[in-house]
Amino acid sequence: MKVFVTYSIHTLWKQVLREQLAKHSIDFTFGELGEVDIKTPLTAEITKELASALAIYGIEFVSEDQNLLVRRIKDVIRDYVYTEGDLPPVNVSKLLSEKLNYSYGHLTAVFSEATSISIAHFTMMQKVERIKELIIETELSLTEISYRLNYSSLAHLSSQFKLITGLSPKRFKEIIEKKRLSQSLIE
Amino acid sequence: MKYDTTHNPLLVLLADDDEDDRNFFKEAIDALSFKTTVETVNDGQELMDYLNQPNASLPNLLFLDLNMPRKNGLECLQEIRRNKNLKNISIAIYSTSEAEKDINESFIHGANVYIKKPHDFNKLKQAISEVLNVNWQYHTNPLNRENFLMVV
Repeated sequence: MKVFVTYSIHTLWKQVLREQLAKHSIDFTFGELGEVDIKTPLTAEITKELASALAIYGIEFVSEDQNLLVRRIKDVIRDYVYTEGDLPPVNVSKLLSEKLNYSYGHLTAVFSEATSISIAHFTMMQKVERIKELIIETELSLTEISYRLNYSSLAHLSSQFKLITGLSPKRFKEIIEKKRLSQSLIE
Repeated sequence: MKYDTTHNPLLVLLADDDEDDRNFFKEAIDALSFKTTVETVNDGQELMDYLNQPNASLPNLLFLDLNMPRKNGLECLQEIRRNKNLKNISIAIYSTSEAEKDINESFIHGANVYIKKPHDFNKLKQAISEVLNVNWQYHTNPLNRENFLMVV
């Protein structure tokens, strides 16, 4: 016996996704054109499991997955750089692969592809922003700041600051002070 | 640069009265892989007229020559920083002067970047690329723009 069926691709992929996402108790809504808004944070493990379960049906995540990963990399680095008190002496590459459950090689590749700078460069920039903040907002000396942010010496801090900004930390401070003074005179 | 393709190209405006310098700049920025649109104006007055148009598409980044007829770069800088509508524009002073006084004054009046005009094409490319990169970081990350100071 032969039977003929009609089917709707549209209903199919949604039903498959509904079943698979429900298995992991993931909260979601459907958007336009194959967009799925996932409300529950996905771990790397669940993402992998889902990807292989969906692959059977020919469904593939194309999504913002990489952008999300880049955002999480930035969050980990920022959380670290903005730790209260002294920075713990950890290796950023180790910290990232532990927290995000991916190899550092994978993370650097994704990051550089999306942002055009390396994770190391981004970390350096974030640390320099933190130095700027500490210079301006606190009474800490540069030597104290270099201890707090785990630089091996004041010279190391200064050279990294200069590399990123083209200015010495001292000159930066002078300029900001003059700038604030002139702004307060205008207002 | 391979930003996420949903981003519009970065609008860059160059104000410089020297035609050769304008062309040199455009060639250098075109040689980079950043997605940019470059507009140019020929002096300070033209710059302010452009920015003050009611429906002006405002640049994300302005490269501003200091020495220009009709209205010089420093006057433009001060006018722009006093105007709330223009406060999101990053300003890179683009000058032949290396005098510390010019650098300090530019920063105090609200410039973010000071570029000593390089005469070598590759150095210019490198300098522009650095500025675009750092500007992009301030654009896409929660950083305090008041602290965005850089000499290239």
